[in-house]
This record gives sequence, C-alpha cells and structure tokens, in this order.
Amino acid sequence: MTALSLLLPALCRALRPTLLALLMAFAWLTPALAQLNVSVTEGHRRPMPIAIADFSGPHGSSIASAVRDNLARSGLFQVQNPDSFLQRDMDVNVAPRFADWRITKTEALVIGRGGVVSGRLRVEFRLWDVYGESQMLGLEFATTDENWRRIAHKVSDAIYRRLTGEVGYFDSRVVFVAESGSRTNRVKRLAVMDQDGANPSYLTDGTEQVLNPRFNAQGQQIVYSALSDRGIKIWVVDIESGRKEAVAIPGNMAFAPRFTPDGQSIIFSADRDGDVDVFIKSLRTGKLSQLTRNPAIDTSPDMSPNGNQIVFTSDRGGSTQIYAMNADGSGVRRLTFSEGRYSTAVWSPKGDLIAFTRQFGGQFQIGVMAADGSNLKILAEAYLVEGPTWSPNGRVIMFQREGGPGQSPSLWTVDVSGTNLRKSPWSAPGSDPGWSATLP
Amino acid sequence: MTPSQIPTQQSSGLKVRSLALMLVSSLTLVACASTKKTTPPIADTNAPVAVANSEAAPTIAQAAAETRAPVASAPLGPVIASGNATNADTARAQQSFSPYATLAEAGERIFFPTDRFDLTDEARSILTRQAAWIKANPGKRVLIAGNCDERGTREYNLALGARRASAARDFLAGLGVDPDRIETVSYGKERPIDERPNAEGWAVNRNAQTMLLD
Repeated sequence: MTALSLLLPALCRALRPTLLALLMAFAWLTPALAQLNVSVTEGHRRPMPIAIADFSGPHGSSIASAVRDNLARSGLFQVQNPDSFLQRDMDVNVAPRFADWRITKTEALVIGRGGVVSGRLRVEFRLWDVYGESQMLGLEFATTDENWRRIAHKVSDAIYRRLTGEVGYFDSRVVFVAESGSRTNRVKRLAVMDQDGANPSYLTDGTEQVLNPRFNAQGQQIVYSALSDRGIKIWVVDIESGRKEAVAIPGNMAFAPRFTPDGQSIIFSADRDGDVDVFIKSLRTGKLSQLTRNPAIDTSPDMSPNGNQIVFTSDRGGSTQIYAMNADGSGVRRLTFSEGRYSTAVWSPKGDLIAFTRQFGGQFQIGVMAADGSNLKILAEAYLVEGPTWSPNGRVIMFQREGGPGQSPSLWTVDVSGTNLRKSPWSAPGSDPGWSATLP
Repeated sequence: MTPSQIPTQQSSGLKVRSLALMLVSSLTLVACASTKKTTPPIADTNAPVAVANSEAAPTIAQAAAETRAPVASAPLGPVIASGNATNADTARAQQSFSPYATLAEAGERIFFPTDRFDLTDEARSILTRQAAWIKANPGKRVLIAGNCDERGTREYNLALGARRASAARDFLAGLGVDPDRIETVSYGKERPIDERPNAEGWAVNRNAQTMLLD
C-alpha cells in the first residue's frame, strides 16, 4: 500500500487532463493539394519515408526521438535517420529546403520547437509534404514540463491522423502484469505504463498474483483479479483517487472481469460448486445477475462497444469455443466452428471485429474475425500467445507471447492486417496487457 | 540444485518424499506443517530454481520432488472400508483405522489427463485414502486446489481448475467426508510445481492438491 501511495500521485498527474491542445494556429493546406497519405488497410504497402528533425528547445531531442519511435513502431513509416539529413538549419517558422529532402527520398518532414511560456512547456510543430512543397499540419501543445512525453505522443497522433486518415493511438497507456521469479514461484504485480513502455509504475506489491487487468473505457479505473491461497477476488482501482476496492461477489472465486462499455458494471465469471458461469454486477447499485446457466465452463466475457452483445468462452459444445449472446443472456449462439480451441474473445473498439486466442496444432495463435465469426484470420502464432487487447483505434493488437517452451512471457504487438509483428518496448517479463482508450 | 536433479523414484513415493523433506529441512528455513503458499519476495528471474529455494512452501517443494514419480505410480492404498463408506457408523469406525499419519502420507495430489476433470482410478484411490485420513482427524479442515498445465488460456484454466477441485471434493463427500470441512479453490495455471515445459511437466501440473487448513 505504501508503494501504491507513492506511485499514484505521479500516475494521477500523468493522467489528469491538463494537456491542452491549444490551437490550430497555422495555415492549412487545401485538401486538394494534399496528395500525401498512408494506407493503413493495405498491410504490405511501402512504409512512407518521414523525417523528424530534433525539436529545438527543452526536451526537443527527446520529444523528436519519442515521435520517431512511435511512428516507426506503427510499421507505416520509414523513419529517416537524422544523420542522413542534408538540411540542418531548420526553423519551425521557415519553409524547409524541399529539394534537400527529396535527395534522401523523404516524403514527409516534421520540424518543431519547444519553449517555456508562463511556466508551462509549449511545443509547436509543422508537418511538411516534401514533394508537394506544402504544409500539411501546424499544431501547438502545452502542458507541464514533466509531461513532455505526452506532448510527443500527441504530436505522433496528429501526424498519424493527418497522414493515415485514422485517429492515432500513441497517447494511451497499457495496464499489464509484471512478472518475476521462477515459473514455480511466480510473482505477478499490477503495472501500468505508456503504450511505448515509458513511465512504468506498479500498483500492487506482489503478495497476491494479479491476473487479467483491464481499463474501463474512460481510462480512470482498472479492474483485475487477484489470486491468493484461498480464492480469487475482483478488484477495482480508481486511478484518480487511488482507492482500491474489492467487488463483493458470493463465493471465493470470481475472475475474468471486464468493465461494460459504460463503465457502470463489470462482467466476469464466478465459480459455484465447480460450475463457472458468466455474471454481471452493477458497481453503482450492487445488483448481481447471472447471465449463463450451463453446467459447462462459461468464462472470459466481453461486452460489445454498443452494449448489445456479449462474447464469451464456453466448452458447452464439447470443445472450447467462442459464443455470443445478447446482453441479457438470451440468444446464445456459437461463433467459432473451424478446427482448434478458441478462447478470450475481445471486441474491437468499433465493434466490427473480435480478436481471440486459438489453440491449434500444439501452438497458440492470436486471430481476428468478424463479429459474426466469419472471415477468421490468424495474426500471430507461437508456443504461447494469449490475451489480445486492442489499441484504441483498432489498428494494433497487443498480446502476451512466449516464443518457445520455458521462455518468459513478454508483450508483443501486431497490426490487425497481420503485419508488423514486434516486441513491445517494455522488455521485462509481462503478461495480460490491457490497452486504454486514448487519454483526454 | 534443480528439481530435475532429484532422482526419480517410480514406485517409492515415500522415499522420494523423505529425500525431499531432507532437502527442504536441511537447506531451508521453514519446515513447519503450514500448507499455505505465501508469495516470496521477488527472486532473480534468471536464477535456476532449486526445490529447496522455494522457501515459502515446504509442502509445495516436497510435492515438486514427489512429482518426479509419474502420475500413475503411487501405490494403492490399503483397503479401508468394505461396506458403504458413506455410512456414518462406518466412518466413525474407520477413524482409528486410518493408517496414515499425515494427509501428505495419504497422498496430497491427484492428477488429470489434458483438459479433463473426471477422476482416474488412480485419483479415486488417493482420494479414498485422503477420506480415511480426514475422517480419522475430525477437527481438521482441508483446502483442495485445482491446478492446470500451461497449455490453456489463463481464464479458462482458472475455470478448469475449479472443476478439478470440485470433482475431488464431490468424491470425498461421497465417501462420507462432511463437505463443510472441504474448501475448494483454483490456481489455474498460476502455480505450477514442475518447471519442465514438456508433456511430463504438464502432466505433473494438472492436479488437485488437498492441503490442511487451520
């Protein structure tokens, strides 16, 4: 608890919506002239060559470096090495020498600068279309000095959005389980970090094994289950206040919790005499309802973003498969039919896709399918992969991966197109990632 | 010292156990009767895992050694009841007859095939011995923890472990053990006792362990 009280103020500071996107004070190019764009749907499209010069002013090179890392990790950009730059005398308010940038085949260029204005860090930047010789974006952000990384993420999101047409996902956090110790004596702590692995902090001390943490859609609360000798309990942590509360559920085993999209309830599974069913409990009224009544295992429920449907894992048909039902538990139907065992279904933020874990041929796989179970596609495979979670824009899936027998779990990402499989910048052992929405 | 260095004993569970006990008591601090696993401070991830290193739980360490003995190898328990074991009189009569000094001696763990929770003949035999011990020790309560191998997803395995634990509990209750004396829990795949990431290790980790409470 002491660690918690030490860490939470910093966390609260980081999440408090103090960050201000001030104004779009700069000239916009008319859309007709903006030819430059990146397709996010074609997985094999050539990444766009983009140069991000070190920003001038406080944290300038760190901000530029974080932006470069973000864009490079997306797989959609080929981020140019600053050593290759021909022009060195960039100024945010002066048009660059486009010809110099064309020599290195750079298509997009970012120039920025930071300064301190009335005690706050203010960062402005422009995005240039090198071949169109025109400005695509000019923005300014301000926040506290210690929050400079969030500016880098906001800048990354703005560039990503301008060039791909989709909202970004860089200004977001990931809750996960930090693992340590041997396999037979595993310590599992609740941890939260920026999506790029920066600013990690621990929210539990490791006395209990923390499993499957998830954010609410508002990003202010985390729900997780904690395993102790005599049972497994569901907890909710409020990030703003630091309050940690056990959710009262009859019996000694409640697990697999997720918030409903409105953040008012949690759906989870609980054991009643060896029978595990899906339940929903209102955090406001305390009302508990049982949604499945089946002697088989029903677990890992997730409610669709529109609140109408719940997907869950069940072995009621003899093998482990993914099922869907209406929010009240009616209308149960099976979604997965092809070979293998399916579990941990999770809705995409738009509700159009479902990510899942599949066991097939002695391996584990991460895949996606349409909301009706069609168009199944495998994105990643290894000795163990499980627990997919969606980036807030639905483009990237993060999951836990053990590359081979006996390896430690680590966090990996893959594009929903199946390309750009890579390890998360968080390099220590970790599992059960839960991606937040983009921060306010 | 790694678990795999402990000699495997096929048919002599007791020998293995006493070897493990010696190891535990000679190399670690605690050797009390506590069956509770307390989570130890964070250890070096890269350090080889010694059985005796798991200072938290003598019982677990002991079981880890015991698990070198294949699932199906435990000796058959003595016949404890020829009649209806659920009969209260029989149960009382058996109290003084329990040939096992400790629950561990009766056999702590039963094992399961992949993704199954029904009881094998071997499991029934061990549970029958457990029932004899529990009935012979009226003041005691037990906790049955269901465990799974790592070849399943986390939440599904928690559910599967719950089924394994309750299958064991139901069998004990059928032998006349008061269900109020049995608590169940699932550890899913979170508390394996065998590090080996292969079929042998997984088989050991698919179990239900009966531990003494209080």
